[in-house]
Amino acid sequence: MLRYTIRRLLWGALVILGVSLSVFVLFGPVLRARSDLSPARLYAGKNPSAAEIVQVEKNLGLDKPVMQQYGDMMYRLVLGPSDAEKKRLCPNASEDRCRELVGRLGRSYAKQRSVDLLIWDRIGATASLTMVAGVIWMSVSIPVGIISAIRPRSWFDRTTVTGVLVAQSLPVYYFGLLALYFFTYKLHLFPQGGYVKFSFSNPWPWLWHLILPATTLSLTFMALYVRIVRGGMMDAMGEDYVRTARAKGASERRTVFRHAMRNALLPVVTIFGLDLGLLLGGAILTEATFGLQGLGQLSVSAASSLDVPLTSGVVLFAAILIVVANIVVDVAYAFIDPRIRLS
Amino acid sequence: MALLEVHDLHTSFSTDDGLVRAVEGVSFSVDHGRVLGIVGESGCGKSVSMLSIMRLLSMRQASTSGRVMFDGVDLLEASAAEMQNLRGREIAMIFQDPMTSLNPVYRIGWQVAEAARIHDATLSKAEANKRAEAMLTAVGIPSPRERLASYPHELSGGMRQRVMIAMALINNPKLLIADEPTTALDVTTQAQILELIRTLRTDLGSAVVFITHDLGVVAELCDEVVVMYAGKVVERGGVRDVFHAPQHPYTWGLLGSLPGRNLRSKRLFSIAGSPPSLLDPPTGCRFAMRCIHVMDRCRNDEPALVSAPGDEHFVACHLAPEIRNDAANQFPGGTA
Repeated sequence: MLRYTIRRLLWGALVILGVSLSVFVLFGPVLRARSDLSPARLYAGKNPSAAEIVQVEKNLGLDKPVMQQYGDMMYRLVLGPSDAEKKRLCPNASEDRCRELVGRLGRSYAKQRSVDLLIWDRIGATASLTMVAGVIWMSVSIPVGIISAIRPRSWFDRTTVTGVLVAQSLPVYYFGLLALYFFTYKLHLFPQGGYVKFSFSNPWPWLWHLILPATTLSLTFMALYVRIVRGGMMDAMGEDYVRTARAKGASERRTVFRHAMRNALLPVVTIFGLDLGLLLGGAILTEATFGLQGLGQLSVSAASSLDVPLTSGVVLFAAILIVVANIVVDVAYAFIDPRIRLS
Repeated sequence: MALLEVHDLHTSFSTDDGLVRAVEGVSFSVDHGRVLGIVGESGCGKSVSMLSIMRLLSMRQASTSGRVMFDGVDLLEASAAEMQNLRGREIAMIFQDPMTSLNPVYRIGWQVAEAARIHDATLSKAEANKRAEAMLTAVGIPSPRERLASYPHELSGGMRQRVMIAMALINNPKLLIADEPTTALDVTTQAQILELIRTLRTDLGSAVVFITHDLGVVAELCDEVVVMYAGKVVERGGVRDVFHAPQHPYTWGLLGSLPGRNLRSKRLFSIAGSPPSLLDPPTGCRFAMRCIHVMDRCRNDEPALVSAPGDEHFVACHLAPEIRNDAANQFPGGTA
């Protein structure tokens, strides 16, 4: 088990290394090869002279050899900004002030702030949205999928299958706008959008602001998960061990919930973990529709302003989340599925 | 009265291609403590009959009619709750494939103990575990205490089938239905499992219905035998009668296909052709198109079961008794 975990961790580190390399190449040399997309030119002001561009390039550290830039980036990611970099990026600031200006993921060109802090500021909204959406879609999909599977071709099953089809074909922004129109504009049931920080003394405003966006986001996943649970459950109900359970005299309830369900839900755990990891990197459309200032919005604004450190920072952060989610799922799976533990 | 009396059992499945009549008018009975063998090739309705009796077929696809009296209860009329109460307690069943018949995510001990706990709510976990351990010992599983904590994938096929047998016999059922329990196992393991079933049966006194396509197994283990072909019973009787004086051409074919019976010819005998489709079965005798003794009458009239030499020996064939007896004499049945 320990060896397994270590192997997964090493594998994860390797994937992150690969992602960092492709992020660097994509947003570094590739981008700079086109002069109209050169960040130095963009951030040198209107009609810059060649000397000004060179100066900005120097300020941004883009004048160094490519390999050194990548080395610097990895050094910063693992050990934090080097003294030389601190001197360059915040020459006269105190240690605390400098920490606000440059982080492990670098410093945003556009916002002149540490990328770490910019991400940290947005993670609350995105994580809340993801968690609430996850709770909503799991608590709907599992029971609906199971009932649908044990009563195939019943009216409930037919309605479910149709609903799944509709939900899967509705774009998030369309459903989101409809929901906003009816529930907020017409019925005044929910706030117009935005995010309220979670507080233990009164979590309601937080939840109130999240219900519509989380429901919207969960809809597509709900449809997908109903299909997964229904399919898994139907397969499980046809398995020999389910017949064995019935032959033992187990009640239908016991057969379904004890024998079939546990097997049917094993794959759902995997996909759920992976989807959560994916969503924590930002749900761009949902955040945009409901004006949630999350990671999705941050990455859009970073990309549209050619803010190279911020864009690559968000991408790298999302990649790390996915890798971590993968490892957590793999290790958790080994605990819940006895067949994996020993092999 | 017999323990299990099956009378005119019909089971059909509705499929997209039409109605498949898998079992048509099957009747037989099993007395307390006796072993009945049901033989026939794949798809002849052996397993479906047993699943019908246990009411383990999905009601959505299968429809069953007839009368199945078990210890005074008509199983086809019993309520779902009554059936649950009988299954695993009075009638137990073991299946062909031990690799898939155990639940992969639960420990062996839990699964065996569950069979006891379902039928006895007062049984404590510890007592149930104790009984499970005793059963694992009885079925010859080495270091049973440790095995209780094993998962199915940690055991070999033979060991898993032993676990299935332990699970089936933990409540000391009156009837054990064994649906080809040795087919998926290798030959040495087959012999061990057969020996185990034979010993446990003698110890517990359960009646057994043993489904197989292996006539050797029938000869060794069974008291009576039912030969099925294409959803119908073609011959039925005591093992000695059927093996010494087989009456139906299909039974002759089956006995003739046994290796070692006709050593003179180098090739193994096989019955030409394949069974008819049960979607659209032929009129008359269902074996007619493969029968070397076929007559015009066979293709039109369906033969009924008639008495044959011996005690409670029946056959469904139009051939004259003399011809049948002559042919039967070719089978010494000495090994039976």
